Amino acid sequence: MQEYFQAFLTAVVSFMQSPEVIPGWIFFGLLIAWLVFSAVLAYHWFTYNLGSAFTPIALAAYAFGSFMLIGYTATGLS
Amino acid sequence: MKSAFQESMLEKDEKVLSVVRPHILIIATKLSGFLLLAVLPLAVPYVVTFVNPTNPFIELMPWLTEGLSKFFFGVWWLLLWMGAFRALTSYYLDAWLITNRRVVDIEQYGFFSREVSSVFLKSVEDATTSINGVFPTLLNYGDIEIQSAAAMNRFSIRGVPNPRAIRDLILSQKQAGAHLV
Repeated sequence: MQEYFQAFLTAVVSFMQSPEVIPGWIFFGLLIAWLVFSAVLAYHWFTYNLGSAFTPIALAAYAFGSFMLIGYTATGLS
Repeated sequence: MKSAFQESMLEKDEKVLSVVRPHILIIATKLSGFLLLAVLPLAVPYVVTFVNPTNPFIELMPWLTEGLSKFFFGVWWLLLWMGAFRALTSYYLDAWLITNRRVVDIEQYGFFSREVSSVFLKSVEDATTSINGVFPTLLNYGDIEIQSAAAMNRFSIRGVPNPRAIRDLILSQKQAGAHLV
C-alpha cells in the first residue's frame, strides 16, 4: 500500500515536471473523472439511501479499492 | 432507522412495512460480468497459446505486468471498479417501499435520472406475481406488477425475492384498511 502511495506521489511530481508526457495527461484526466464520479456516487448514497448501515461500508470499500488501483496505475508511470 | 430521504418522503403517521429490492443474484450476475472483464486481458495470452501452442504470445506475459502496460491495466481496472459501483448504486437505490398507506416505487435509471412515484393502497386493484425460469423457481424470486384504479398506472419491479409474500402483504394491508388510518 505504501509502495502504491509513493508511486502516486512520484507520478504527480513527474507530471508537474514534464506535463507534455501523454500517459501523465491520461492519468490526471482519470483522476479528475474519478473525483467527479466519486462525489456524485457519495452524494447519491448519502442522500437517497433508505436508512441502511450498508452505505458507509460500501463507500469505504469503494474508496479503498480506488486508492489501491490509482496507486497501482501510478506504478506504471514511475 | 429511517434515513433523511425516507423522513422527507413519508407522511407523519406513515410506517414502512417493507423495503423491496431485486434478488441479490441479479446484482451478483452483473458484478460477475465486471469480474470477467477484469480478468479478460490477463487470460488472453493463455487462451491464444492454448488454441495455438506454437504462438509465442505467452512470452509477452512478463511484459504485461511492467511499465506502461501496467499503467493501462490499472486504468482499465479502475474504470471497471467505477462501473461496478455504478451498477451497485442502481441496484441499491432502485426499490419499492411498502408502507401502511401506499407503495412507493423508486426508479434509479442512472446518476442523473431518478423517478419516484407512489400508489395508495386503496387504489390498488390487482397485484400479479410471475416467476419464470429455472433459477427464479428454485430460488423463489420473480416479478410483481400492481394495477391501480387509474387505467394507465402500472407499477412493476423485477426479480424480487419471495414475490408472493410481498403481494400478500400489499393485499392484506389494503384489505385491513390500514390506508384509512
